[in-house]
Amino acid sequence: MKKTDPHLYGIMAQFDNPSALVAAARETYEAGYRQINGYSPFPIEELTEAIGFRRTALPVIVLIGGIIGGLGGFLHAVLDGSDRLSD
Amino acid sequence: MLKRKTPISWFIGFAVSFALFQLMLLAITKLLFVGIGLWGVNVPVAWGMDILNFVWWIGIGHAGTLISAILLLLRQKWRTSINRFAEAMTLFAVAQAGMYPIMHLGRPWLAYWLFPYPNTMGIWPQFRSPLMWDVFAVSTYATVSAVFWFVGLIPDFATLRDRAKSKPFQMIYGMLAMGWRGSARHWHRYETAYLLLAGLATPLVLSVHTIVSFDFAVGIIPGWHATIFPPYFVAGAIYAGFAMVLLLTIPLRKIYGLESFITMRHMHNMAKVMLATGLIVFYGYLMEAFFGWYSGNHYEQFMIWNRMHGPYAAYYWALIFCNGFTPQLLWFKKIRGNLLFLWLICIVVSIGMWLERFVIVVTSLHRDYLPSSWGMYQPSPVGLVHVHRHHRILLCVAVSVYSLPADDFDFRDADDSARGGSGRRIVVGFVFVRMTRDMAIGQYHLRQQVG
Amino acid sequence: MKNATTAAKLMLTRSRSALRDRTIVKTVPAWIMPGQPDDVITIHLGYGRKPSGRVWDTIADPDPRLPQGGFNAYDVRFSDQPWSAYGASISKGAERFLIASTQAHFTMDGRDLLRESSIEEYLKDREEQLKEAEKQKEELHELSLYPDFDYKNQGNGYAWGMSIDLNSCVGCNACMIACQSENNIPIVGKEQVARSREMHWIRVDAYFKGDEHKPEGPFFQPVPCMHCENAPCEPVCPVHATVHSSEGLNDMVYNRCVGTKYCSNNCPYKVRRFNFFLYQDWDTPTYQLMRNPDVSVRSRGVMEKCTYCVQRIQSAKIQSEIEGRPVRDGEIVTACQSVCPSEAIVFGNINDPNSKVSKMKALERDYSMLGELNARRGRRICRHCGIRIRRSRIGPIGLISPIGHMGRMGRMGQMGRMDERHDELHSSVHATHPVVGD
Repeated sequence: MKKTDPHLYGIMAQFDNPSALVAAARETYEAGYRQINGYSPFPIEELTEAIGFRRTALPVIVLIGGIIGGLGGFLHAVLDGSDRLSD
Repeated sequence: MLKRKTPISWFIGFAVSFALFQLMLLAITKLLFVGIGLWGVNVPVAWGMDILNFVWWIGIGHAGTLISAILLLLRQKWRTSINRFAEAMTLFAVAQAGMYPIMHLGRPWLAYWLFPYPNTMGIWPQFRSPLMWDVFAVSTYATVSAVFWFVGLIPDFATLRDRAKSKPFQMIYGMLAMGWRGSARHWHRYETAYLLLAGLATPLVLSVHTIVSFDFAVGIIPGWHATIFPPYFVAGAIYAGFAMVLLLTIPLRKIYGLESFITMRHMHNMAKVMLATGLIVFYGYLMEAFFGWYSGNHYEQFMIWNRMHGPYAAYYWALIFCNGFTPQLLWFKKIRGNLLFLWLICIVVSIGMWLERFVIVVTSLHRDYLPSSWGMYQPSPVGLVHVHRHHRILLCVAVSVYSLPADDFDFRDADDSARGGSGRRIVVGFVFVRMTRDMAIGQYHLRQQVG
Repeated sequence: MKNATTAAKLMLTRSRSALRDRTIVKTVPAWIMPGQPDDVITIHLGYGRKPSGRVWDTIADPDPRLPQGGFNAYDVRFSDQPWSAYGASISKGAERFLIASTQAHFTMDGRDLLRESSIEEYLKDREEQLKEAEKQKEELHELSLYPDFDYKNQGNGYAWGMSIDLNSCVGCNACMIACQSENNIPIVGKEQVARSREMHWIRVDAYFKGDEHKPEGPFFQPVPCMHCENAPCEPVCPVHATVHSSEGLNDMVYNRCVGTKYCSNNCPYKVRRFNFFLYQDWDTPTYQLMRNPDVSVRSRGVMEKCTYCVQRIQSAKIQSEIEGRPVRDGEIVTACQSVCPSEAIVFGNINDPNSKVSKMKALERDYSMLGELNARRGRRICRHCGIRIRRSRIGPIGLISPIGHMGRMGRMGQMGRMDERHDELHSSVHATHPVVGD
């Protein structure tokens, strides 16, 4: 039988409305906690800022993917599209 | 989650559309085994209802993208209640449209030759052909639309997963939800991804229909070889698409009591977009007539004269009535506000846009340079079954939208939380509206054939 | 079924011939022909065979009430006096009958397609026409963004071209039949022809000029594939099924064709034919016997067109290579060329200034049909490698005798005299004919 782990992994709190949630998140962040997350059934923009989540690499990845795809397709058409007379 | 018992009308609608779907499968099978001679196409009119329907459907799909992507980028809040449903419509319209270029081929089992894959023949497709550009444009559009739609639905799939009563559904929705937990981080990435996809989808609305217009504009025959085609087609697509969205939304709103959700403001705005694009399309007709005359080119002059006075003149004038005069009614607020009238106008516009494709494809082809090769085009019964493949879309919608939400999360509006199960109810209305239209058009064409 | 390709539904007329006390009445359909003299009808002998075989069957169910093989003109012929009869009359019938025709419009509608004039007119306009032609040629040269093809330094140095002399063409259609048998072209049957799906690679167009009641013509113009240098069909094929060879031919690659039919839409001459059904199979023994083994048989779903008898070109080239010499002028004779009774069609190497085709092209009567499409569209439609169709110098129409002779109008056969009632009927029939001046 496993011993109950004495370490506390985290605390969860449930709120009735978004403003309370956001306020709590801000206070938690200001208290120095960084491993915070907030959950909601609909998006709350202030919450994202409050938990300190700033940037995602997604736009850069999409841009690179788009450039590769675009250039690749274009070069393929130009280089492999035949414009020579066949014999 | 709001979950209503599925109404009996859904089952009836599903049964009927399924039956029609079987008819369509029969027609496709016969076509594959016997040949496209079963349709009415010939030389000179080698493209008939097959290609004109392809263009029509793609055009309709564009409105869905416009509502979900472009209006999102323009921060038009009024889009949110209709946009998921509009995106679904886009996807099914594109899926529908995509079948036509394959079915119309003389050898459709070799359709994959249009894709550039390394092969033992040592040959690539011909990139100078607009049909190749179509391959890339339409498949890109389908892919981006599908991804856009799917990404937008992830939080909703998660909700369905969490509320699912049975294990199989839990697993299915669970996989579709891709581990969504509703965390703020997820929401942020979700919003970013959604905006990026909207940004990708927006230029596609312009480019895809431009490329579809190139199928004609790159041709040399009078009536096709016109530089006005790209903007003219794009405007026409949006016009037809909004007409379709309104056509479906108005009855659904009534049947499912969504009036507070899809308000009169939405109706007015959509009608205004229709008016604006309808004016552009009408301008296109006027310009075609003008440069037909002004060009001084005998072939061009004959082309426009033939449209107005030749054997297909009835189609042309019906087109001018449907697309030129009818949308002018939308200037009037009273008319925009009268939903029955608006709905009837949308039917007329849908027919008008179909007629426009007919006039462009068939009348230009049937009389071109050499009078000795002039001919006529008559649709055949098998062709008609193929053409009215709305049943397929119905089925798609019925099956897949069965439990999917029809609307979008408004990023700022917390009231949307209760939106879960409205999607299911959307389906039936879709089915009925489509079918009635189907039958009406089917009857019209059969009479043409017999007469 | 409405079908304008078939010159609409024409009334069946009852033709009646009488001899002494005997009367034969026969119902036949009527085709209103411009230029047909008043009081004359023509009924061709040789039709009306009882239905048999695939030629007479249609793809769809044939109408059992109507004969499928035409109408038997022998039925109005008395066997004891076969060459003349008296008291003939026609009356309008009640039924309608579908006539299938490959051409339904016989006016050029003001387009410069088939040039013809009398000698006086020709000499009058000659200077002007020559200047026009020069000017157009220069304009065309400057308009295209693409460099000219250099046929002299490519491949074997051959550049195949064809010239058709409209002066000599009598509209006999032998070229069409020769092409059909040489290239395994299928017969499609009446119902398909009525749907504009005939498969002829070369066709002879007939045009009338002038007043519809007293027209000039018909004038004949054979139209094969022009093998355009800047062919509109080539860039629109998504799978490279139609390509331009280094010898100037527009090659159709049957096994690559997936059947999008864009090439046919883009061809201004509409010389491309599509296999809408499997018009000829591999099992029918008579087909196997009649086919030319040098030419592939096309299956359903592929496009086909005139190839300048590439099989004959290749076989001559192979022979010439074996013998270590270039192909001589006149060694390659296309099927259409070989049967033309007036030698109107000339084929050869236009890189060789001494070949017959080069000399024909150098004549001042030479012109390119729809040549202006190059100017309009920035594409070169017909250049040296294509066909130059020539102006003809036909004078006024010759007289046609009333009984039993072949007129200048190729397909005509026996004719008979009608009585005065014909005029009255003829004018009412004229009112409905759709053919000329559409």
